Amino acid sequence: MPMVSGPKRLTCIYDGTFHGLMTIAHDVAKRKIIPHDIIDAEPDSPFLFNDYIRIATDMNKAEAVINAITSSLPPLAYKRILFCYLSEAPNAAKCIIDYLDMGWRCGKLLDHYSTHENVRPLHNLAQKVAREWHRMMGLVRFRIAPGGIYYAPIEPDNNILPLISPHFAERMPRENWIIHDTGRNIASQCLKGEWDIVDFEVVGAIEYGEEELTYQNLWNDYFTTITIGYRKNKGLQKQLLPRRYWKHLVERIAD
Amino acid sequence: MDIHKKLEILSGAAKYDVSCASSGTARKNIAGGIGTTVRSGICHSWSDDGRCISLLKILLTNKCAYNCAYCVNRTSNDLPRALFTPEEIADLTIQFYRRNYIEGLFLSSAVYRNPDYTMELIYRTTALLRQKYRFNGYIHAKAIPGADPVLIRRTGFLVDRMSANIELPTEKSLTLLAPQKGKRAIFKAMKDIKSSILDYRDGNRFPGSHRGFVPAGQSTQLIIGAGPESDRTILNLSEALYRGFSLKRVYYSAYVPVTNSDNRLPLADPPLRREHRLYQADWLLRFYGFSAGELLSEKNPDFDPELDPKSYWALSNMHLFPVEINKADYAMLLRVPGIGLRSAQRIIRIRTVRALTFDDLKKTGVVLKRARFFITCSGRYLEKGDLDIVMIKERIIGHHTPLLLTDARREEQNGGQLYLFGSDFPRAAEPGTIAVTGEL
Repeated sequence: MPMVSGPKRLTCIYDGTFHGLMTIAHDVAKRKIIPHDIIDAEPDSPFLFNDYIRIATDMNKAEAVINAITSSLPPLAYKRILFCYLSEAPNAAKCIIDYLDMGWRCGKLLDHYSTHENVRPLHNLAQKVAREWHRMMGLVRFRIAPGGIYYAPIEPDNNILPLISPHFAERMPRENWIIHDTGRNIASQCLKGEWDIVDFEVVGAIEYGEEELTYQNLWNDYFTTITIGYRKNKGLQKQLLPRRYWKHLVERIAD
Repeated sequence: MDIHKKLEILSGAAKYDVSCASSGTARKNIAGGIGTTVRSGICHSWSDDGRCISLLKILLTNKCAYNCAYCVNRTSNDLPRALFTPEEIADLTIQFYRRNYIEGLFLSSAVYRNPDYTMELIYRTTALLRQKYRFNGYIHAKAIPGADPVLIRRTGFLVDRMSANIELPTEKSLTLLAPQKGKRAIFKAMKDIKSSILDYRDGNRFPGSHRGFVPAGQSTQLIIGAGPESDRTILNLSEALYRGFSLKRVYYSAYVPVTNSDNRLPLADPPLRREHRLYQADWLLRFYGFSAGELLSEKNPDFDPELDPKSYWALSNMHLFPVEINKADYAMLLRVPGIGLRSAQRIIRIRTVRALTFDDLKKTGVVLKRARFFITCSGRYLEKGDLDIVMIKERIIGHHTPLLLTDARREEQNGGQLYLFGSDFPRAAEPGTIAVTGEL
């Protein structure tokens, strides 16, 4: 394949999978392509001056890239790349390709360039995902549905289900639970300590039993009493627990 | 009494204990068990005062044999009393934990009948959780000073953290305000915990002690502003506690008037700002390589409420500044106002591959508003002309609103006077709803 250059901008289209993205990284590393943009679906209205190229996922190429990342880049690089990918931000794919492009030149010192424009955006996205991952371990609220299934709806900004699932599988290996990402219509389902991510939707409302509602009320009471009146500080509360997370909590927070 | 009412009374009485940490120990689940612990700790919610909720924080009982002047649970105070059974506490903990409301349990208590009796109830509750319910999450329990060391030691093998609250910074205040508590008993409890921790680390283990002895360490709490002690006295005490007892944390709690009839106690608003400055100084002791003697002296025994302790220190040591960002060693970087642990580490890392500019510094999270007066970047200094200390101080304070600006603090600013012992602002806070600490 010839080097693409000239006035036309190259946009890569891939299948949206992590291995698909790694395939692009492989072709970029071999200098077959220099993408200006990376998208995971056919464009609605293609730009006249853009060239579009479809990259088919190639597992061998992808594995080669992943091996290179884990062997020749800094220890945290692979984790950061995965986290950045899970952010599902529009520019995440491009951030990863730029980061790797710089990585093949800097090797183990890559993360030292944390203020560089090829590194900083990826660090920032990965950091956001890491924060939400940690935060969500605390904010998941299980409700015990009839039949003894633990059900927790969440609506995170990033796709953190694969990150939080091992934590709950370890913590509650004997319970059967479902953590439902209602925004993405997927859920992490755990049966007998084994978890998997599946497409998921809840049809109709779930009716909770008396016992479940009692504990929900006890928790809400506790949440209310624990406040120290003269230290009331709603601003700080909102800063630490942003409003968008309130919806799926059991405790009812007043404005 | 139903469980709702009990929870209301006994969580309401426990909330003045500041500690809610669930950090410091990482543990996988056990066979047939429920629960893990995470080294960083996990916050599960934030209450209306902005404090993190990580543990179910309750008293076993608020029926107290003691009559400490500053405490809401003192015998002479007329308020509803309740007592949990160990079974009730275990059930609540497990039910909350399963639903992921909490990381675990914080169990404290008033002195019910006598220290031994209370400590035994705490032991029985934790044993029930660990053994019958196979609960493997986080437990923080109080060590009741004066209780049988054997009970405290047995409890230590079941819990993650233990604390004995010192409450008042000097023996004099303790004798005056809490005559039934002895300094010696409190320090004895702390010393016993420390030596058991060391003993365990040295390898003196036995079957059933797999969790370790108080693996997340011990902590304590001090009340600020109930007695006449200066910041210096308090900080020196904290330093001694960190060094002598290897404490993980010392918590500070601003004193709030609980009664307006006791002339042993001040009637000022809670010194929240002072509490905040002490926390900042505490961080400087634990993470920034400062010693208490550097921060405060006999001549300057208190922090400036307007200025953070690090800036306060830097302004009194201007001969050490400015430092060159691209050359200064890590220990010195940490001493620059506006540079925190993370940014200092980043600076060290970045400068191995290139020299930093002021633009880079912004991106690493350095607060240039404060740091600019104390640093150069490749020889460049951001300020022009000669600045004296007063001008720098004014620019650092600026118009910024202090952290945690609450109504109480706004009043404190308007009132002008902060925490005078025997202040002439005899404005007692609303009676009944206010207390300092429900505990030991």
